[in-house]
Amino acid sequence: MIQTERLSKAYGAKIALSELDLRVEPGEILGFLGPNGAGKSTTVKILTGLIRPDSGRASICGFDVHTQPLEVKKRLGFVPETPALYDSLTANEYLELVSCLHHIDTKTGQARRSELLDLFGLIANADQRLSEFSKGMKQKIVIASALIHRPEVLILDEPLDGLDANTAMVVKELLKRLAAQGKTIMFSSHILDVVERMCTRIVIINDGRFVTSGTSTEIRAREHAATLEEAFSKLTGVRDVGEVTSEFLASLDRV
Amino acid sequence: MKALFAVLDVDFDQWWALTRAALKVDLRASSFMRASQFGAQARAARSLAFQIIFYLLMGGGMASLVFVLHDTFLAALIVVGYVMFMVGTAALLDHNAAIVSPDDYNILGYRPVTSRTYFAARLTNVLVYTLAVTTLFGVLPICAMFLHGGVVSGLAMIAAIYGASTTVALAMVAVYASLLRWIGPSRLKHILSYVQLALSFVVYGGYFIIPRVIARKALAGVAFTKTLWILCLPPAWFASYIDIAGGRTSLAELVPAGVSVAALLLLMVLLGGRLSLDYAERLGAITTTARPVAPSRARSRPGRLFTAGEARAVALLIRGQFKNDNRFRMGILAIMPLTLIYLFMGISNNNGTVGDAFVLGQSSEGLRMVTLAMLMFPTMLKLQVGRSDNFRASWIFFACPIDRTRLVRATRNVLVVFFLLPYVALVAVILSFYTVSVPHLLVHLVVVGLISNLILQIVTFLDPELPFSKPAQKGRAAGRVFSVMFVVGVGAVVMPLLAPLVYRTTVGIAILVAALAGVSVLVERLTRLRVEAQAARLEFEG
Repeated sequence: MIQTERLSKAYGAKIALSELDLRVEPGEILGFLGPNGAGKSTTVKILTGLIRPDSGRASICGFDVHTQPLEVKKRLGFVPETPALYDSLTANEYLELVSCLHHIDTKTGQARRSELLDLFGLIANADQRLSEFSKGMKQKIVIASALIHRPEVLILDEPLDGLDANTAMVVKELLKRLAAQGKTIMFSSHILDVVERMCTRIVIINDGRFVTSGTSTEIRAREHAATLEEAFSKLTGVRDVGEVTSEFLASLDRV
Repeated sequence: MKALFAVLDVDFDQWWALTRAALKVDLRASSFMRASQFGAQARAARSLAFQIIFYLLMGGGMASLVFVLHDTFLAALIVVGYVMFMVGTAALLDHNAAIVSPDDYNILGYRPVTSRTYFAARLTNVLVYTLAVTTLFGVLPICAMFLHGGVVSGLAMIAAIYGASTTVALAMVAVYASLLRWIGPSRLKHILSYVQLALSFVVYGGYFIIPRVIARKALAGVAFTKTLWILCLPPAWFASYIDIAGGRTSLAELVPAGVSVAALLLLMVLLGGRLSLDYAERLGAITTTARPVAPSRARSRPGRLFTAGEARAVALLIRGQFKNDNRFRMGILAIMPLTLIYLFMGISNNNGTVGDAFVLGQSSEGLRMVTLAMLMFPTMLKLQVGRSDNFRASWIFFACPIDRTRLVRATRNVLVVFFLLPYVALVAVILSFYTVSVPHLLVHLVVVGLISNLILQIVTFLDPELPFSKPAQKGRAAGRVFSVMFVVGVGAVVMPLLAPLVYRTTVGIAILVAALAGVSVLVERLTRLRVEAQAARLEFEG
């Protein structure tokens, strides 16, 4: 389970998060939405122990993120927005490193690496350096490294970015089945269609504040919107898309 | 072993995994990875072999001192001094990133690794590299001590060299980790280059001034006595082992040796204690905590000389990198400690003046050391501008419809205008206070400035690179700096001998300036031809 209570964070005068309350239950896939700069990344960084909140509390599986970080990290699988990897290691070496950091024994680690590389169609590339991998292949390795220790909680920031359609389908199906097994999944993405189809519940934040939550159907009904995209625009205060585009096209003739 | 690590609160399995991974990353990044990827394995192997041979040769020179000098303490003092300088330089130029870089935190920050384990792995990484360099440099002096002083002295030399190397490496790590702890990540980010500059003074100053003053006295036949100030020098602490091995056990030997052991233990306790406790978290704050940046005073014009096209693009880029990239800024500013230390040495050797470049003999020697620094600067500039941690951003050069030849030439021109000319002007101003003839000084600096420009042209000709387009390589900067110091040092020795002969007449000066300008034009033409061929073959390495 993921829980935040009155979580706040400011960078100087800029308030990134303001008293955010969140709760993601086991078996749930939470779609975490918000426009750029809404505070999604800050929330994710706090939950993964990368930064500290100014106030409030965050916990994962009942362990406080900042007072019990090791307990949290043992149970957490994280796919960051930008896949940072040691490029000069091979895929196999990188996954072995992650296995060691999670104290997975050699035999089990080897078996899990093979499973995951096979799942993502990378068996043939196992001994190839990550520097030679494409963006999508690197993303697969990041996802594999988030799954290798069988975490109870998964936090995924744009996990489908760069993946080909087939792999994206595999990942989506995998996440659904993991949720069905009782894993807690928090899914942050800008691709609303995917969020709508995958997530059991959606939370939208804006300017660091909670805006709304519910299923896609509930949110659309509340906002009298035909699509989640339309509801999202209404809730996050984006100007009329047609108007903005017309203004820009008109400016092209002037400048 | 695991129990020992447990006492230190370090997870042995994680430490081992992290250390192995870091060494693989470094080894591949510094030598073969890029090479194998882009089909230049032989070149990378040559570069590695060159570094090995270079360190061995330097060690060979030191080994000869062991035989030449009758005083084994003095020989050990000089050898240990050089070892400490090399390790300090490597930590400054190549390994500060291993300690204060937040890159790893992006990959490891959310893994269940304690701060101590992470810190221990980074420390091990630095120690492995510095001890490898120490071994290459120290093997011949150690052998010489075994042959010259016997087995016990040889063993003492091993202890002295490795003890000194480890102490410097730990001290540098302790300085950076302390800064991270006490100054705080966000402020450290801004002042890092200035901290490194201050450390450069300590490292370079210690290297250049102390051993030379000692060696000058000893080699000049002055009886070498252990004065109190010599015993205060860290190299002397470790060199004292040699005297103890030789049976001398007075307080003058035992106290410095005791201080060396105490220093090493103190550093270990310091690093194993509070410094490593919240290290990872503070490191993480550098990368994950965005602070509001005060709006810059809108002065983005990169000078009036670079107004359009590739030149303006490069000028904007280099200016931006200098303002924001610590590694680049430090690489450029590193010339200042060298220059000031050389100036101090020149003045101290020459009765408080830099002498007169127009006069043959002792008088012109005051300028020799500063000239050395001025001739080194172009290579340092070239070294810094080609490689960067942000090399992946250079895709823009490969994706845009630019003329790569013009880009390479523009890079060199921007370096000249932004850094080389201001540097020469600054040196001129400083030296004008210490010269006996300002006109003579100006003529000499014009000549040296032209030669510096020519050196920059030549290094560009030899290795044309797009700016910040290749990954930074560990070990490369320190190795290159040592090599350049050696080559340019020869030139700086010859120059004061030849220059007065040329400066004797105005015609001689005019011919020299014309010749330098002519060679410069010729190299420019050749560079253009070479770069046209080379630049077309350059590939994006990201």
